[in-house]
Amino acid sequence: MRLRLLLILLSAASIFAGDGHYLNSRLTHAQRRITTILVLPAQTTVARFGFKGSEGLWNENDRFEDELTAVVGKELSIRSARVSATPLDQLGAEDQSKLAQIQRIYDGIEAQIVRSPGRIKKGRYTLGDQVATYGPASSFETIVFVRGQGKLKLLSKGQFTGRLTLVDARNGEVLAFSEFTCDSHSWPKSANELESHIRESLAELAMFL
Amino acid sequence: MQPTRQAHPAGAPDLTKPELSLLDQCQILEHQFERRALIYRDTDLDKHVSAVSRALLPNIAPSYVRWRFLVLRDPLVNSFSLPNGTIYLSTGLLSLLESDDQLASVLAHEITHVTKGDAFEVQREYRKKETVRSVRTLAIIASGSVLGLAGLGLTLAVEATLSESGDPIPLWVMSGYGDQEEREADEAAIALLAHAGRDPAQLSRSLSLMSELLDPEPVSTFYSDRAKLRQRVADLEWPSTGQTLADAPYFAAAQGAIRENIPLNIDSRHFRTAVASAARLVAARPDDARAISQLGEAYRLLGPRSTNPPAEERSDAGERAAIKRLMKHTVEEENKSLTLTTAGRAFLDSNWKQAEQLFQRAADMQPLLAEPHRGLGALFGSQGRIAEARAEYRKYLDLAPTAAEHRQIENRLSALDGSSAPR
Repeated sequence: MRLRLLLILLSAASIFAGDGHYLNSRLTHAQRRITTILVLPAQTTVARFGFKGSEGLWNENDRFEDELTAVVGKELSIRSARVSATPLDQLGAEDQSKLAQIQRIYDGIEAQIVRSPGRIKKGRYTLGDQVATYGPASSFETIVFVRGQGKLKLLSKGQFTGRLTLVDARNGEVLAFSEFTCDSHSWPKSANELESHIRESLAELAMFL
Repeated sequence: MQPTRQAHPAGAPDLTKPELSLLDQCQILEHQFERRALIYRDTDLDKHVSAVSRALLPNIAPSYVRWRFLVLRDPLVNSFSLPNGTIYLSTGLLSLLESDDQLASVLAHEITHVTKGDAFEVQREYRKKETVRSVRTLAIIASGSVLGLAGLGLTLAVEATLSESGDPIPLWVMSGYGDQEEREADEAAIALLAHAGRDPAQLSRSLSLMSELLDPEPVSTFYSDRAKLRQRVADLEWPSTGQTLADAPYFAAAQGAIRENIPLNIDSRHFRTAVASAARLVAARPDDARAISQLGEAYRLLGPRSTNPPAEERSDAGERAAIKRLMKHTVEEENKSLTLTTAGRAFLDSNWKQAEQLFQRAADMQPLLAEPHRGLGALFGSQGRIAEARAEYRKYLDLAPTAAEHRQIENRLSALDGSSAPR
């Protein structure tokens, strides 16, 4: 009996570790609906951890990033929002450079968001209005940043931790942040395995879509 | 266990399977940098770096080495080499260096890592260490299973941490090797520099420059660890003469990278470094209106900060505290708290005055240049001079009707109606 209880507690801890949803009060108080969303190309790191250390799975990572971007776009478009996920290889040189710039600004802010996500509620985090200079985002009111780390371990299931951040495409204010964790053998084969986890992590946001 | 040796398809001598795998991963890493638009392309700079490196390259190199020199769009002062012969220099590093001899000293150091095969050595050590760790972990699991229930909890706990230490290979090459490898690379670099007719003392000078960064930097690399850099300077046989040896050919080649790095510094909150880089551009090209406008922008965003770090930030403890503050507060919060102090308010007034003068000077020198008007618009907006801000933004839109910033400026104009100031 005690063994069962211990297993339940351990599995519950792994399900909820790192998961969380944070909404900006500007979004919740205004009861505003998000009608147009641009999903930026996901940036992930997938690594294999074995008896002789870790190894980056860079080839698999490229494919996984593209799939994850598409899956996030698909999950967001289930609601009524107009969603677009621009494939990286279709961007021109200037847009690629602007994209690299806003992804870099986001990475700087994300380090703070992960430390204190609760401050999103008060609208403390902003990427600045530089986000408005990214051409493909000009007809969207919200952009989504997707980040994740995948770990494939020798003796257990693979673990993927993903983060989705919704940002106002006009002034760069962070509107929502969501973190999810997926323990599964199958996610490295296809990002589609993450669909249910992404859907769950977007559940609170769904009423604004 | 010793890995079996295999011949590389391209004819590399006796490489083990893990070593071949490391070479393959290096190629993919390059692809990742390309994919994320991190490679900075500048034909003149690329040619110049190749020319400086020529006298430093060995006559014979392993067949898997193909020497290439790439510049990364990265404000972090860093340089690293991959075992396949690709050497990366960051725009942050190029902005800091003063001469071809200093550039040669960095290249010589990285070339040595490649020719000595340091990456393979570190990989071997890492795999050995991790294997020992894993065997130890397995032993704990085995003993835990004998203990029953208590052992199960322990087993799950240790299994969760199995071999999760360190960056995935080959990301560790980006943050430097061990002290021993770095010291040996310095010694070999000095010999290479002397042989190539370069000034060996410039290695020491460039390391000293790297140890005097103006802004706190949370990401630690071999080139940003002040304590280690100071130790390395002390270890070198050729001390720095302390002379600034700015040379024209280096500056001519690197100025594009320096210009590119200024907005990267600003985005990374390296405001003091941005001011110093832009001031360097202006000093070298006093008639360059764009550089003057960039200096104005750097001063505007420097806001309530001094151009040099305060005395308390120069100690190791002070730097750590500054990094902690940087990680905790957003730039808006930091600006607000600094502006509440008397010194911060004085710096703000002085820096904004400087920015306004520089923007005006750039606009007068080149009336068709749009950037100074954008800067003036933002500055006046922050100062509450709404009508002037609107006028400057409109001038910007007139002069640059197709600029990528068009939407941003229109948003700012609408925001000015509600009197909210842009960043």
